[in-house]
Formats: sequence, C-alpha cells, structure tokens
Amino acid sequence: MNQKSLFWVIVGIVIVFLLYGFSTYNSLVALNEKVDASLSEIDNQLARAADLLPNLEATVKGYAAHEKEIFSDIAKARNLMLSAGTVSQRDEAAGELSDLVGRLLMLTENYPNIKADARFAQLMDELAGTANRITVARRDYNEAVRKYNTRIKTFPTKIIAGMFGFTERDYFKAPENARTFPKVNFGQ
Amino acid sequence: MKIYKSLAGVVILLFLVASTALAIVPEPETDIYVADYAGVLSHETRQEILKVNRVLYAKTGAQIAVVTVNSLEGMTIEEYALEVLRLWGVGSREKNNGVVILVAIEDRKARIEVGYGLEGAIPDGKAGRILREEMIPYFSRGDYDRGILFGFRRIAAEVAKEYGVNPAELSKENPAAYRVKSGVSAEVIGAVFVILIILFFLITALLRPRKYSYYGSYREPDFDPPIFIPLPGPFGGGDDDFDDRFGGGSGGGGGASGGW
Repeated sequence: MNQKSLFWVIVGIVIVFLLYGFSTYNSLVALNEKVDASLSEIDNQLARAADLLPNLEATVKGYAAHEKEIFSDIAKARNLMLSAGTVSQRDEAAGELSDLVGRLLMLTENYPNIKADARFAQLMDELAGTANRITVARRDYNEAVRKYNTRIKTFPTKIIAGMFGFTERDYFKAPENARTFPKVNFGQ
Repeated sequence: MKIYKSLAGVVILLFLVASTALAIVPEPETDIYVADYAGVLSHETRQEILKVNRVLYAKTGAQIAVVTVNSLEGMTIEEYALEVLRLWGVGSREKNNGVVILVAIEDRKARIEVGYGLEGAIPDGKAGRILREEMIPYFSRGDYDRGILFGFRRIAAEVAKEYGVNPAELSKENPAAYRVKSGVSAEVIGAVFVILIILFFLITALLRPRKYSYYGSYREPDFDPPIFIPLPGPFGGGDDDFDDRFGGGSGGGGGASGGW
C-alpha cells in the first residue's frame, strides 16, 4: 500500500468519525432540549397556579373567612411555587399544589355556597388543570431524562458526551406514586 | 400447585408487559370518531358526531373523539384520556387540535381532554363548565346519550368559532346547536340592537317632514330581499365511505374532569 492511499484511508476514517460525532452531539443536544422543555412547562404551570391562587383565595374568603388554615396553606403553596429553583424544589411545589387542590375540594364539601359559586368552580377547574399538566410534564420530563441519561452513560455515545461535557440530569423523585399509576389487579 | 400458580402469574405478567404498558381501549377501525365501548349512544347521536367531525376535520384539521368505556381499568381518568389523545393521535399533527370526550360509566367519571392547539379555544375553566352544564346533569340521570351529544355540540361550537367555521356548515338542520352561546354578551348585543332600532325610529320620526307623510306622497323605499348564497355542501353525498384517520396530535393534560 503506498503512502498516498494510506493517507486517504486515514482521511476517510477521520471523516466518518467526525460525522458520527456530529450526529451524536446533535442528538444529545436535542434530548437535552427536550428535558429542558418539560422542565420549563412545569415552571410555566407553577407560575400559572401562583397567579390563580390570589383570586381563589379572595373567592373563598367571601364565604369562609374564618378558615384560617386553608389561607396559610395557600400562602405556603404559593411561596413554594414562586421560589422553586431546583428540580427537587419544583417537586415539592408541585406536590403542595396537588395537595392544596384536594384540601380546597374537601373544604367546599362543608360550604355548598362556595361549591355553587361559578367563579370558584372555574378557578378550581383551572387550578386542577395546572396540577394535571404538571403531572403530565413531570412524567414527560422523567421519560426524557431517562432517555438522555441512558445515552450519555452507554458506550459509544459516552465518549462524545464526555468530550462536550454532557452531564447526568436529575429525575423528579416522587414519581406521583401509586395513586396515579395504574394498578395491576390480578384478582380480575 | 404452588408452582402452577406462580407460573400462571408469570404468564399473566408477561402478557401484560407484552401488551401496551397502559391498557386503553383500541382505536376503532372505522368511524373512528365514536368509540362507544360502553354502548350508550343512539344511532342518531353517533351519526351526528361522525358527520360534524368530518366537516370539522376537512375544514380545520380538528378532531373530537368521543370515547365511552365501562371501566378505567385502575387508571385515573386524566391518564386514560391523555393516553387516548396521544396514542390515537387525535387532531392534526401540525396543529395538535384534538379533543377527547371520555366517559367511564362504572367509574362515574367524565373528562374533556384538550390538545395543545385548542387550549386557547377551550381553556380548563370552559371545559369544566361544559361538563357541569351540559353533561353531568344528564349523566346523573343515566341519560348518557343526551349528555354526550350536548357536550359534543358545545365543544364543536367552540372549535368552529376558533377557526371561523360557520355553524350552518356543521349542521344544516340544526345550526343553532353549533353556535357558541356567549351568555351575557349576547344579551348585551341584543339590548344594544333594540335600543339602536328604537333610536332609529325615534330620530326618523322626528326628522320626517310631517306634510309628506300625511299626504301619502312619501313612499317607503323598497328593500331588496336578502340574498341567500347556498353554501357548498362538501359532503352532500350522504353515506359515502370516508377514509377517516387520526392526524397524530398531542396534548399536555389540558381540559377538565368531573364525576357524578
């Protein structure tokens, strides 16, 4: 084999390697973006819930001003939503939000007037809607993180990931537990 | 015996894993817009839902799938409805403008699941109101057929309004059912209109030179009869076979749920 053809073989190998590197890099960027997109969806919904709460609070106050506990719950949840910066803080805020929806619904059992208030019903629909969107975004987030983490930890991709500094992303921990996941019932 | 039991367990487990992770009802092969697995819909309701959907899809790409099941199989209604929306791909892929109306008879729960593209037209508050006003009252009396039809109409009306589709195109027989009832604002418009008419007559009466009207030489101008332009009916053929297909839309959990 003369030197010239050896040169071209090496050039070919380098080109193939570069192409592989580019496409892997791009796919990692895309996966990482997807993780960020789900995360920002969670942020959007937390912000939206925080916007809804003052109106909701005002409506509840009109009927049950003495239920001090619920107002401190609302304030607490709102603070968590507005200050959530890390994944685990967002997790906590999201958990607080779905608890709050439950507590508000329970409270209305004792106040038929609140229940009958059209404005309250609409605000509750919207709050429950944001809570549900967060549940969905969270599931999508974990799914995206799972794909991303698997890729940067498995072999050929691992080199590229290491070269460009792709690091592992955090999962949302409490994966909305058994309450919202389908239960397999063997008894049926 | 114990071995058999655990073997059976393993087989069942494998079967469950092999089938889809979340076991929702399969997409219908024909007439995809109505998946009446609980068998609660009348023939007329079914036909109306199919017909309106075909017009809506042709004009806007939006799709409204009506799904009834007996049981949610342990899932929450929110999960089940989202699985239907995403797995079936209700709505067009580009616009994500699908809606799923899911009613679970034995669980006594219903949900309107709204795809990304229609969250503006049907925000959660509106979805909740449609459920409470049009659907739940009938469901609690066991009249699923009517509750679903009325809910469907309101949702289709909102979608048609969003895309500027004339209600008469959705239903020639009953366009009023597909017109958005805008509650207060319609009354306000009506009141303003009446006041304007009264003012108009008052002013013309005041301005009208009396002698002419007394002597009959004043003649009311003739109005041309309003011209009706027949709308082209895209599906005038009647019971043709349509190649219905879901468009691949998606959603993120928008909409509202309710129980009875």
